[in-house]
Amino acid sequence: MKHVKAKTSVGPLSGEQKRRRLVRALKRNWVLYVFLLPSLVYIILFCYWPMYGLQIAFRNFKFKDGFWGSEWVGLRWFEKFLSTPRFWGILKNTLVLSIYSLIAGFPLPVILALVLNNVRNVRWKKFAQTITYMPHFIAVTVLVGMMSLFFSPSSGFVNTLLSYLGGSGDTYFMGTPRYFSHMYVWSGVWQGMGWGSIIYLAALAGVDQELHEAANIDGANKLKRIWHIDLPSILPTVIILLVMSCGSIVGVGYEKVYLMQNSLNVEVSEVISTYVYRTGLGNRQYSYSTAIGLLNNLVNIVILAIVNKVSGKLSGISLW
Amino acid sequence: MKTKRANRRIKQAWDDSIFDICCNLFLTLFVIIVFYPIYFVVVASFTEPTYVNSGALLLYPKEFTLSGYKAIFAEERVWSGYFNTILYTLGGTVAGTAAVVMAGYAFSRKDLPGAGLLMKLYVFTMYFGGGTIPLFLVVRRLGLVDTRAIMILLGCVSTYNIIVVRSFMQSNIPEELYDAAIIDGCGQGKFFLKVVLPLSKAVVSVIVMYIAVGYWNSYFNAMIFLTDAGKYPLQMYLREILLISSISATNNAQMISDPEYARYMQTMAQVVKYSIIVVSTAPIICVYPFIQKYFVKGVMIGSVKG
Amino acid sequence: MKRKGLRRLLALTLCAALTACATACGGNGGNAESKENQEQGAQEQSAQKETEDEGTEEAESPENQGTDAADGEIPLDYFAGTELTIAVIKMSADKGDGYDEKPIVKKAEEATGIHINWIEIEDTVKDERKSTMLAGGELPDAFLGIMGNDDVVQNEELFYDISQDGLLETYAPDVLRDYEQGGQGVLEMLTLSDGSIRSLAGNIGSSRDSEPVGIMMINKAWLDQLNLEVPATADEFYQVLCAFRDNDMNGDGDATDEIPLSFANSNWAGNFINFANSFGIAGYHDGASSYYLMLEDGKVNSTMDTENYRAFLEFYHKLAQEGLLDVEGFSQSNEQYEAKIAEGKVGCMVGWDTASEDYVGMRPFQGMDGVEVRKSGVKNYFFGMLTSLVPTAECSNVEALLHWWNYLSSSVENKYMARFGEEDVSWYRDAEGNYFIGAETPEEGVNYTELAYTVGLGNVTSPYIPPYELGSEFKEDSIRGRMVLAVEDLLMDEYPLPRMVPSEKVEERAFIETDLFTYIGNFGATSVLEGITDESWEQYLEGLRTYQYYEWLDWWQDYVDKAF
Repeated sequence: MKHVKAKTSVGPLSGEQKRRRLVRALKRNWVLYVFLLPSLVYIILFCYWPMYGLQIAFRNFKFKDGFWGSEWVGLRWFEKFLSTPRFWGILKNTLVLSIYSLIAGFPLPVILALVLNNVRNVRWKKFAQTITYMPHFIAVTVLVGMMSLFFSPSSGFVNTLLSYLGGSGDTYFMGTPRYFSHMYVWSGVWQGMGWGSIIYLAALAGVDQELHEAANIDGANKLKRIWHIDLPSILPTVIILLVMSCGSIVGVGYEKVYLMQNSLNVEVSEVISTYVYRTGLGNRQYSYSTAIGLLNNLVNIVILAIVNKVSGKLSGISLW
Repeated sequence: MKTKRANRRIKQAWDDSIFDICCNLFLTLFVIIVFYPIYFVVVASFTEPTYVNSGALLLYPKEFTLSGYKAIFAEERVWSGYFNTILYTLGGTVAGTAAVVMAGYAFSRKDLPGAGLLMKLYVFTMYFGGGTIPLFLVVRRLGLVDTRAIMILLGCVSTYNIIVVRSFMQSNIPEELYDAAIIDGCGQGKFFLKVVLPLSKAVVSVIVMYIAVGYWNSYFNAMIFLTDAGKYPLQMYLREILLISSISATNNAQMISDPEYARYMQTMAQVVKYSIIVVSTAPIICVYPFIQKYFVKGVMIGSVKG
Repeated sequence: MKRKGLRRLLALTLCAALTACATACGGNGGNAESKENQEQGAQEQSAQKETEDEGTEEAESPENQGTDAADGEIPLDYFAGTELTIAVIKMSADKGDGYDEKPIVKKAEEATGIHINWIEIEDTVKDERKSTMLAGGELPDAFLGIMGNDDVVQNEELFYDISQDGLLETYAPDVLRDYEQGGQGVLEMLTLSDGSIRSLAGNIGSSRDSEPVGIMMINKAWLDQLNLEVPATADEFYQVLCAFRDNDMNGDGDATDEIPLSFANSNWAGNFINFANSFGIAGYHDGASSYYLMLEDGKVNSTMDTENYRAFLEFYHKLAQEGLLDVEGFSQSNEQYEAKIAEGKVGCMVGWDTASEDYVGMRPFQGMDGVEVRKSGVKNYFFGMLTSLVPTAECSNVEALLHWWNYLSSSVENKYMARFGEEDVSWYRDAEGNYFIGAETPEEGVNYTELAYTVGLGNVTSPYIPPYELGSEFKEDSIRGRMVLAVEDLLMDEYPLPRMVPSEKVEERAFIETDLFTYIGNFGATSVLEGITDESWEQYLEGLRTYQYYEWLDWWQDYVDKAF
């Protein structure tokens, strides 16, 4: 954020000056606080008020004793999780899936947006835009069901196509551990690419057309114009979204992984969330799953803070 | 000199057409990859389940049937679900967009004392929450359990969206514009309404869509806060069907213990699985073309600057 | 307090009268017995009524006094006018307009005068609603079909202890009678480790042919084409599968599209581990984990570390390698599996049943020499659920609740009405008085499973039916029905009967299972695809130790020994 820089560069101010400046800012900007009010009320009511529930990570939650009365067990749940023999495997799987997803899934929507932005035929552009965003609406259950059909070694058309191309034609995509991460990540890219590009398309709409015209006259070709005009102007949005994505590195949603999991690939497909689901939900271990969630998010928020700092230093763009 | 320039223009035109071709090729390929499974879902919704599940369905429907759609529209829940979903989506979108855009604007301003601290406060909620049960207790304390109001309210504010709006406004609303407006005696509120909003049509429409789609697809709040099935959104029905069709994954003890029941439910679910996806998503998919309108280039700064 | 004391006194007198009468009548069958008692109690109760008013004013309704009074069932309405609130599960198959409309509920209200206010909770939101209700502290009078064993044990204090003060003996004598005469020790199962009882039993399965879980089925039409018999040994089985693979069995001109042997882990009865029956390893329910131990003479034996198990995996690895086993079974969806079968591509398979007349049931073949072949399933299986009706600690009138539940259990007819719905609609009696599910002449397009949930209460929400009252509706006209009879001799005699276990014990086991089951499942599947070497087997045995297989078996041994 530029204003942070601006502030710090002003140099040391006396306390009195600071106070007066603050009063002036408050006077001038009280309306901004009114603007914040609805969301602030919401966040206090529905996010901070229930936050006391977090303490059950350190308790043995029982309904009859409630949140404040359940037995205090300290770090018991954390120790339990860290001492499971599969802990490192699970952590590794989680990181592999989320980092792979980030690397494959983050740049592609940007590229798609730039490509769409350069299509001249308006109808084709709108059609392509609408089609590419549709997969977002396909329920994960159905998506995994379709993958199982399409990639079936016996009846799936993907294998048929591969056999025309000289492949073996009976590759067991859904059951072979080494394909798991690819299947997971690329189906995710397939589903999320169009949806993810929307925000960049909106940002591209804000690009000053005069710049393009000027560059055109100067003889810059399209690729150059994209590189020097379009990309820089959506860069703040890109960076902010990237920072936020990095803040969810530890943690892969459970549903899709769980549906794709089977006894053949479980070694590589067990992630923290599916593991918690297995132990937690099935046996109503509220405390245990809260504890693991807490641990996850602590790591996440630390990563977020670091990435944010780095981004602030390098590009001047940061969350706070 | 002139020829040099002309040469450059020719080379530029040549480069550009190659680039255009590449772009279109990439886009066509991607559209095909995306389109086929979508098409498959639609065709499968008109086809006998056995034929679909055998992998024989490829391009055109065979063994045409409307049984899935008939079963769905015979369900009363689908109609009341539609009504509720539309209500929640409209209400939530209006409330959410207002709150998010206002907050996003406030955060985008450089002269907001305490912005950093407040932002941290907001970001914190992206990661930490008290869990479902405390939230339920809070909602109950507010007297909002089993009301439509909670279905509209809950989920309308998201920090993620606020940050998106903020970063968009920071890079698109020049500081000079604000200074000029203030010197002209324009108040904060007026500036927001007359200048900021018109310049932010694109991001506002994206936020509208994010929130609307989020509401349309949500069922979790309904599971927790609604007791009256008459207030259920459409997604509850969808979820039930999908849950049943992936029964082994959910490990529903009741179904496993009563095999006849399991068999009955799975047959039911198979028939409507694809149709329900079509029925429940078609309306919301139609929103996008309306949103696209606001992505028009060049409405922006240029016109204001001039 | 005083009134409660009085009531207990009355209860005791009633109890005494009851037993006296029962002995006097001499084993006249439950029905006659209870009627007799009711008459007896009638006078006492009406006398009592004047002295202690149960708040019955508004419900001294004429309907209640009407027909039933003539039948001499007046004591039934002892609690007339009482209102109770029950949170009940509503299954997706229930297409009815609510519990108020169910015949048995109407009948019970007419007879007892007890009105139930139903809070219906859909099956799919059960878990969420359960937790918010328990956490919110707004408890109904009882839960019906919603709580599981773990819920009751972990939240014991939130539920009513009905073991006290002869409550059951007084207000639920017919229920108790079913528990005792069922011969499965239900009352003992219901008792928690501290001696309290917090719930009453309901049903799970509804028929005897649920006993052997998944069965193997083989394509008889194909066998006939090849002039082969149903295989009885591993060699024969192998030969048959090879023949299925090599010939164009389904006659579509393509000799490669036949699937000799298939299964689907996603099918509730089609798990791969079913095949282990041939190697002497069997489970007591559909879940793979029930194969991980076998009970013999009260001793828990390991199965997953045996040479039999290894031989089983090696045999199926051979099948997989030679393209005889459909390895997609580990990942395919149940829908895909059923589509393959429906298309007539599958030679042999495992599952619940099939509609195709091409198949016959197949006894597990002799997998290796000297092994005693078993069939998954148990001879005297307990088709009950322990936590059907669960009165809460805040129950406003637990006596009335028990009385009402007892009415549902008071005759076979009522039990069938509760479980399945109306007579001659979803169940019927033959001339000899045997009970059958469905209709004598089934109607086209009617699904009797759906009907039972619509007009009846359904499985988990109706009172426990003892096995001798269930036995008669056995269908011999299906592939499954015939097979069940054919494999009866291979079923196991023992299995760990359900029981209410202290919550720390539940937790202890749950933590082991998460890792252990994943490990065993993964090794099994991987070995089928890639084979087993001595080295990998040793490593696996070591893994079983790491993942606490033996601690898990010890846990079950303690469970069986009732050490907790």
